Amino acid sequence: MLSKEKKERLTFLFILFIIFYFLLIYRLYNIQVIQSNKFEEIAQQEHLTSFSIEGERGNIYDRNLKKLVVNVDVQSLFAIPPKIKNPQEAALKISLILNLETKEVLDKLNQKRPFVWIKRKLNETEVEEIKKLNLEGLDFLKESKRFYPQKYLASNLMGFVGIDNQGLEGLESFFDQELKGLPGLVVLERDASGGEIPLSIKELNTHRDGNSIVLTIDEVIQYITEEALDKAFQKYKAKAGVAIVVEPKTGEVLAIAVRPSYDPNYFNKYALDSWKDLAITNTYEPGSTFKIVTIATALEEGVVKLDDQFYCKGWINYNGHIFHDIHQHGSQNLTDIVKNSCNVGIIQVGIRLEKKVFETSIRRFGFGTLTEINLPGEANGLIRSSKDWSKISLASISIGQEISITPIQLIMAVSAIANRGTLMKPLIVKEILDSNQNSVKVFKPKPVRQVVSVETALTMTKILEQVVINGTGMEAKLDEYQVAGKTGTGQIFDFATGKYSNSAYTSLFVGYVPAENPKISILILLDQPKGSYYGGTVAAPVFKEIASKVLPYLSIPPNQ
Amino acid sequence: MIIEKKSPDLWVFITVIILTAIGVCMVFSSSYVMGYKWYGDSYYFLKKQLFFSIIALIVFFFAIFTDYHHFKKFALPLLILSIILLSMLFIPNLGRSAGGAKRWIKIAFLPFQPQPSELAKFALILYMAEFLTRKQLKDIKTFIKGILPSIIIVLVMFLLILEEPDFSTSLIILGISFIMLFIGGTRVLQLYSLIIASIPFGIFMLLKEEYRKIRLLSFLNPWKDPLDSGFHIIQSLLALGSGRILGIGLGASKQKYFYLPDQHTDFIFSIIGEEFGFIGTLIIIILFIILLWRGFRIALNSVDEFGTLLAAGITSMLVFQSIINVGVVTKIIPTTGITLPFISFGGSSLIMNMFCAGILLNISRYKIKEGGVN
Repeated sequence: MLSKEKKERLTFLFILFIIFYFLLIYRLYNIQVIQSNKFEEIAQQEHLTSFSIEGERGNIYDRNLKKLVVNVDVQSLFAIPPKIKNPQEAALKISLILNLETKEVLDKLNQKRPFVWIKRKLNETEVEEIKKLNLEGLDFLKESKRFYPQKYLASNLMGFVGIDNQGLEGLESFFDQELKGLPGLVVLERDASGGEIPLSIKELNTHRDGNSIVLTIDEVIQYITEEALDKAFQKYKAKAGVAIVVEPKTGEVLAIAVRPSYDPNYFNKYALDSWKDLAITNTYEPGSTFKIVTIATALEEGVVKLDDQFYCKGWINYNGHIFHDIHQHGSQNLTDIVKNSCNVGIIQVGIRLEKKVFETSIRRFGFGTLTEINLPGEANGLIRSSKDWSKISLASISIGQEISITPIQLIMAVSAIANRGTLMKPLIVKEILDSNQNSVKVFKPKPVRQVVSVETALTMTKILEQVVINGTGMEAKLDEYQVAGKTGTGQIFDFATGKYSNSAYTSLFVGYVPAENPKISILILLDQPKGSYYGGTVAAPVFKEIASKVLPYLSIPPNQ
Repeated sequence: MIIEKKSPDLWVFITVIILTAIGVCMVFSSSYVMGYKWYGDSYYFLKKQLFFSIIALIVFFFAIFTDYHHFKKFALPLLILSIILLSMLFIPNLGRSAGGAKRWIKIAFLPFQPQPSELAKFALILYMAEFLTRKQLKDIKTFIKGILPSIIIVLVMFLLILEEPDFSTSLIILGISFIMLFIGGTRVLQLYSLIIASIPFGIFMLLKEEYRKIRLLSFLNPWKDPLDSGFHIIQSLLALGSGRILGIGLGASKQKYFYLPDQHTDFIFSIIGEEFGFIGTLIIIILFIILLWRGFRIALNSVDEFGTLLAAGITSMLVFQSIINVGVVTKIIPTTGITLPFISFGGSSLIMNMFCAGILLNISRYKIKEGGVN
């Protein structure tokens, strides 16, 4: 057994340790409860005397690794208020050069803090002028500023960053986590006397640069697309315009142009609406372009054959509602009704489908759900459940009314026809690179599903070729390449009157080329063009202009 | 004397498991920013700590079910081994340094580098427990035969660890050996004279290295030079203070964003304080008090003196380290790098601490049967 002495010594040690622990508990109580206000305040102050410096933001490249944005070193002016000898005089001089309110600057200079920003990201002349003042207590810190050398080009896609280089819109926002670097902590050193005056600044933790993203966008195709869209946008004084170029086999987006646009270098000088990427965020009624979906579904379901005959007397009564046509098309086969964009004929096909079957097919084409393109603010579009369809909905939807779609959904759906029935996920980013240009992540083409059979898709192509050869889409015809496409004139629902507007339309053209072996599919949309509004007149020529330039650029051999 | 076997002490068992689990959570919470920054993987330290925990658990159970008397015969070999390992640190290319000190050994096939001083602490406890119970009682009361051999061994270890340099672990070594001698029955007068004799030596050692002098001075007035030597301790106080009573929530610590250095090792307690407030730090202290209470109970109830000394030594080592760690982060004691047992990131210390706790639990399994013949 243990001797009495040892027991006593163990007890003594135990009590000693317990006393230490109670001392620690008291100390912790003191720090965390009694003095916590003081410590919290100092912690907050510390955040003022130290600040983070961002790592350099990653780049955005086009598919051929051309830089679409550059980082420029700029100087930011800060003051060390305790070092400023004559705040009034300094404030006056500074505010004159930097075009700031004198009082605002003076307030900053009078602060009892050791560090205060006067103005971030100055231009060169401002820096020169401030340096000439040779004032004590003013200094510069190098920061990085985003510069978009192409200005308007793809700006709605690119987005922009805020003063702290944080992504605010577009790709800059969606890929912010990748693009932004990790911050380094910068602290202000104090002098040895314990005073409040910082001597210099040093970086405690070095920052890390952000990753770069490589887009599927081709700068040249983007330029061609923007130029063509802009011309039509100006000519027809449209409210908005969208043009998308996609590679049907991969789903890679080669160009995405939007009007109205803005210069991201001065984004705050433009209306909020001009920042939007309408191709993704806005929904439209697809109009006659949707007839592609109706006919493809009918062919797939076997409810119609190529040589079926349809008679158009200029109108059709379906469940008590009269649907009008522009012309009396007379007797037509299936190809003719698509070629002529004959509402009466299409409705006769559409109503052969079961509601539920038609709805399922529409959804399988990708309408009503997000395409999950890597861009912010994508809209769903609206496809009502077939249970909620009215007695005329089947007819309305078959000619592209009563539903809303985004331009990206429509181009992907049509690309699925071009891609032998396989719907692809739209890709906007090909690859992510780290700051040493090593690959971090690769985005591979991703098939979503087989929407219609290869046979149906090829038949559709034959029909759509006729639309361009001698139908409503003749303005999209190219001499050297066979185009497949469809025009559309979407109606615009006027929420004020609760009716379709008689004067405002959306002009659409969507198609692909070369028809037999599609390399590109293109969507053109002009929102409320003035003067003319038929898709075949307004949108089809834009398709033609883009395709005629892009195909040779891609070295696609012309038809024999 | 009839010895009966019972189940190990549940209090110690549960406390150790809880502390280790808290450790894994807090290592992750405090290191994911840093892990991402330095290794591009937020889970870098979590993965490592989880791996260490699994090994530590195996070692833990191994020790619980191994009769502690078996360790007696390893006392001297282990002591020699740890002295060899400690000396190896001074062979170039073998010692891995971090933060200016060579504390780890690089071994090619091991996924981590062992820290010999963690083994040395246990080897010393084991050796002294064996040595002090081997001696006759009257020998212990004499200086030459009683404590001189221990003093020589302790001094060798102390100097080796001090030269790494690892001032704090060498102090722990000194502390443990004093405690062992004290419980072992050394005359109090002799211990006093030892302490007094070592004071000038201690001061010399303290002032020999410039960084220790600076640390000591910055302890006296950390706000004087808040960016360098005073930086750690101020950041620690700010973290604890910001936590208030309830804390700002798991993962919400601001100080871990590079304000607080060593946030996953020596200063992990500050992050606990910031994220879980006074309640959180109190719970940790209470867990260690439970360990102290049960550990000393096990020492008192041990069937033999070897068990008593081993249990008391192990408990004291764990408790002593926790007191110093919390003492440092609350600025009661000058800054010195010591980990918080079971909680701080680190393989060697977690594995050795769990091993020691396992031995403690094994000691608790033996009991003198009531009413048995004495």
